[in-house]
Amino acid sequence: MSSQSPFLNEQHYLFNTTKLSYVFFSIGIKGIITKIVLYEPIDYKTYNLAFGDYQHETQTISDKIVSNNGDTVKVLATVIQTIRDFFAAYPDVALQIQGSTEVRTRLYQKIIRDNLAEIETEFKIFALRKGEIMLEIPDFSIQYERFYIFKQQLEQKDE
Amino acid sequence: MKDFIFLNNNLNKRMNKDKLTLVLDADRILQAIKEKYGEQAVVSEKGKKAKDDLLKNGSIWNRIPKK
Repeated sequence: MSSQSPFLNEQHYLFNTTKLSYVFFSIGIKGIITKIVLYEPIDYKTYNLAFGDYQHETQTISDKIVSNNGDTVKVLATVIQTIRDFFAAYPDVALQIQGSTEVRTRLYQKIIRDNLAEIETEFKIFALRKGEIMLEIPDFSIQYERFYIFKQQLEQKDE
Repeated sequence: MKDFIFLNNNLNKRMNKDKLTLVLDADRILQAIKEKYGEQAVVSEKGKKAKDDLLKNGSIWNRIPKK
């Protein structure tokens, strides 16, 4: 049995990118759905991850739609690949992750909880609760408001 | 832009598209997003809330507790 995370290692969709915008296609039971991941600059060293469906008619992005296209794991694995790709271009920034609804934030928290050991080989994760940033996540039974991800710096340079 | 509407209304046709066509679609969509929002835009509600939070509470980089 593999101990690797399905989300971190699952086969993912290919994507096109400008490094701040990513496009890929979810192909499932409901057809082809265009997915967008945006890395939005909050300040010069902090970005927000926005993720949703592209509405072709209005050319807008909706992060409220529940697609139910039968490929959730592959879609989330693709989003995680975009995070890796983003950090390759912007290694020194913090990335904010928060669901568009509490349900989605809980889903992201569950993914983080279930895969924390493997995630921490690549990233540092802080959680925000009641406005307070927690360096370590003490209790996953608590619902956190959002998460901040940093690229794991394996060693600090003194120079 | 008409292509998007046409393709969206013909999902079965799109399902049969080859990968190259999907890549071209993706390029066009990226360009459309860039034109609509700009490359450095904050589009999502939670992104906008995060900017408000930044103005109210300061950068998260200054709020990370020292170990």
